[in-house]
Amino acid sequence: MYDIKNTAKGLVAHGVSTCAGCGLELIIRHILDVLGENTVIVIPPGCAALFSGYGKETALRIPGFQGNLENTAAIAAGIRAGFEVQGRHDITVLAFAGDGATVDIGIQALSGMFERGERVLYVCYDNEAYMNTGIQGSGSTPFMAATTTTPGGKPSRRKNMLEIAAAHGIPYAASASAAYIDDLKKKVEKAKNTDGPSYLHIHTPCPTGWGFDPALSVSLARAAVQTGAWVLYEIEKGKLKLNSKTTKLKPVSDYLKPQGRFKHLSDKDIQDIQQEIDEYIQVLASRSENQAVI
Amino acid sequence: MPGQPEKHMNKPGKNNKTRTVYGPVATVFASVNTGSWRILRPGPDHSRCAGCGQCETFCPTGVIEIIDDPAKEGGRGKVVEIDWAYCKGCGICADVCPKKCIRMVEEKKGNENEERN
Repeated sequence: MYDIKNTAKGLVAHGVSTCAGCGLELIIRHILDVLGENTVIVIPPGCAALFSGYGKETALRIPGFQGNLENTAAIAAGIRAGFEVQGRHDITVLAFAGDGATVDIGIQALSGMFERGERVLYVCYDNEAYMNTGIQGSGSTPFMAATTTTPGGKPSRRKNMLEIAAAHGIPYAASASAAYIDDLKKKVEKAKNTDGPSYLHIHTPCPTGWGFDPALSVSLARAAVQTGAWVLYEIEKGKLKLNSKTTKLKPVSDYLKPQGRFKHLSDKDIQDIQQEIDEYIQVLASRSENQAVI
Repeated sequence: MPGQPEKHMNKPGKNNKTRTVYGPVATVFASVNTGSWRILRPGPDHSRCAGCGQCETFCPTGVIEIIDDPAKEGGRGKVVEIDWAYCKGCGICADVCPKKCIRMVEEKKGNENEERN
């Protein structure tokens, strides 16, 4: 059925032309390990399109479709509707989109999918800009981060996409990180078994766009969680559960300093960012029903 | 691509399991030789490796495997095996190694710890 030219351990080919140290490449392997081969993937244009391949070639051993930026969620919902007609409730439909295709361009189709309650697992890998087209700022680019469209630092705040998704009242929404693979795998498993729309927002460092040494990809993703710049939590039927610590956090400069996109920050800017993080962590901790585990 | 799905779906063969292929999807599973990108290559020090598997978990290309080494610790020892055809030399394995026993060495000089080239 598939013409296998090169062997691979999992469902993803080993030689994919993503940059060295790519966080996206790391998470797609672990996500497809959990989901297994009974999965259909929908990928919009973006870095993940490298896995769709070119022409008749693909880097994935599961069927997939490369749609447009605007309608990833709509295509996935259509595929799901077709499977439901055929009685194939066992197949997972996975939409795998970047932050641009999720928080900016694809948000209307995604919102519609959430509203209709389609059983689709939507994964947003968040590398915090339009990396594939040349590091343009997106709705998910953090405050003060330099991109080619915001060379002096982005003046506005990022969208909180996970809260937007959760506000639709979907059964499962969670954030994850490329540095916490066990936590990520648990969340993918949970999302797979959810009867209804589920949304995962995954922080994936991008050495090319953020301007750091590719070797630091994983430690930087870990630093983001340890400083509170990225918080791991899940919202299950409206109840928020924290998965990362909210006390004894490291100073945010540990996360910002190694990155080229934040090198123009003054001490006052870092203080402002630190204060914002502290306030947001307080809000999350007060809404949470548990103590963090990681 | 008219005719393509039928051609691939109806092909008889021993591996013709019931799988889920619908529509004009890509049907050739191929890899690029990303090993040629490498400037630095990981040089694991097998004598200090505890076989924890952190490098295996965090390797973005998925080319690291922890295998048993019968010659080490009476058959209970583990060593790191890397597929050089695809390793991009990003250095994440060296960074996440808790024992810091992977060192990045220059690609041209090769790797003194690794027999295979």
